[in-house]
Amino acid sequence: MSTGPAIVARGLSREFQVLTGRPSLLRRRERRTLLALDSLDLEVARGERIAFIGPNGAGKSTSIRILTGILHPTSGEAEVLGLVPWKQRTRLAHQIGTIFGQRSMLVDDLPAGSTFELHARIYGIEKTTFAARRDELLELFDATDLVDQQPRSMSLGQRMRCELIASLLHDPGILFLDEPTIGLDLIAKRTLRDLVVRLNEQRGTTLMLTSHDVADIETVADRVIIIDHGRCIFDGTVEQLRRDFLRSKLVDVRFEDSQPPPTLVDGCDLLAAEADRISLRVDLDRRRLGDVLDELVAHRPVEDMTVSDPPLEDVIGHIYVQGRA
Amino acid sequence: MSSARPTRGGRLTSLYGWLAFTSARRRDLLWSALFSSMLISIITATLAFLWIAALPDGQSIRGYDALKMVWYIAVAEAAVNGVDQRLMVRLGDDLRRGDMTTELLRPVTLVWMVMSREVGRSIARFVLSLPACLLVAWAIAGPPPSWLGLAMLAVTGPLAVIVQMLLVLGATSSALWIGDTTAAWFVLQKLVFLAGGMLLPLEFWPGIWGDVLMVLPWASTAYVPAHLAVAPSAGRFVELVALQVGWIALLLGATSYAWARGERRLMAVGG
Repeated sequence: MSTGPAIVARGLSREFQVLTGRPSLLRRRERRTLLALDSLDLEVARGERIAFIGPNGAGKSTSIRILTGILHPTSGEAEVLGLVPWKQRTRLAHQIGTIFGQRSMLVDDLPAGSTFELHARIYGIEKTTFAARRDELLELFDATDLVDQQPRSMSLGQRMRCELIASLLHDPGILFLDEPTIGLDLIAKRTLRDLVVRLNEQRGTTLMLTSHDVADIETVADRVIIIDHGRCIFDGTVEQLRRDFLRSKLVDVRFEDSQPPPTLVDGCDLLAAEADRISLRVDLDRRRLGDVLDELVAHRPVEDMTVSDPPLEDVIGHIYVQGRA
Repeated sequence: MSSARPTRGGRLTSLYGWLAFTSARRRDLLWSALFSSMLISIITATLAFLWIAALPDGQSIRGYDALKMVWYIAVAEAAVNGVDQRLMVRLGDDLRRGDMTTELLRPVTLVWMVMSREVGRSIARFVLSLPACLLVAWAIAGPPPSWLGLAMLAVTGPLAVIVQMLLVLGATSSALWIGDTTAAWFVLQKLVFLAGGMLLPLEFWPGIWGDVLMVLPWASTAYVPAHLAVAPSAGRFVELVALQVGWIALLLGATSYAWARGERRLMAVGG
């Protein structure tokens, strides 16, 4: 196995031809070229945890399909673990794992253990290696009691744990996770996130996650790549994402007395107001945070005050809207 | 980190054989085979009563009396029923929608994986539904005309299922170019019914028609196992099994080629 970066892509583009207009016997439908991926550059080091996000139709799935070798790009170059994905698909398949939240790789009517065995055959894993790895993963994911169960009788969380085991049996260098937490309840989501992070820490597996769930991104990723219209519009850490795009702060103030609150603070959005408390969003492009806090303190005696960042979801939503504008 | 590389020796046979075996163990198969067995038992019984009425008192047409006809129909029905008749539409939809592209994430050849999976299931279906048809034939017409003929089914039956499966998979690849398998499925089904000898033995066709149809692939799906089951002979057995094996080799090559082209197309257009 090569020792370079896990993923390198240079100028990766992908066009699709789509037919427009109503089908008619008398006239040919027009073809339109849709640019799903537009000169995407990407470099991911081994062991990194990447959140690869963007609004619907941004080009995430197209990128993942190209990087996993099941779709040809129209132009550009890419290497995943030293292999050109679309030219060396089967070799690459031995070195990557995939989890699709909306498409199961388990066989519904077979006990999970049989699917694991089938995967061992598919990936050419020797019996002793397979047994050792399966047992290790079953223990890691607390799934020993699921081996004899058919997936259709499992909860979504249990299924997802088995999906993870199946996709990790061949010890992939990269794990692609496409909406892995979709449909899971809060506990199952948290468990899944913890598991993949633990996997990354213990085995050094590179994680590439696409998700619309901000908690997935915050918990799992140490780097965020946002794409829109097939182009990369942000590449940095979660902290950078907040710092660069966070142009507002949330301020919660509790006053010592109960009087009608100030109804208008210049440069701020009033989010909630009660007799003894007020919540504001401060627009940092219009007001300095310090000035707003001074104004509030001067207004009435303050008992408690907290300043926080808006949820990451708002930040990402803001970026998507900017990208679409 | 260690990457699991395939051990080459015997890997392919081990993998695809295991795929077929694992597919045959799927528990939903039992119910699907049970319900389809009920249906073909009714069809077999209906046709059996018709032939008994048409050939009374030991009368025969082209060597087939009522007993032979009933057993012929029972075996032909079971052989054709081995392959799920909705399979082509289901696989075609998977190909057309691009769902099958996720199968490419595994280090396998797509057509071989689908083929071994479906052959395993189909042979299991055949084995599960055959007894129902034979019981109906026995109950209506009496014991089998030849025990040797029935024993030959152990070879001709699975081969018939494999030929039909390859015909289905070959025709399914058309989904990648024309986007639909419904028409091809309809034509193939009717060819198996008529040219395959499911409805009538091929000897019933006039003039040269019967001789021509006997060497075409559809005959290997129903006529060969059903004919040998009721009129066995060593010479004919060797001849017809060779024909089945020949068609399997030819169809395997053609289907693999069509799917390999389709696989490239799937990767090129994105499904």
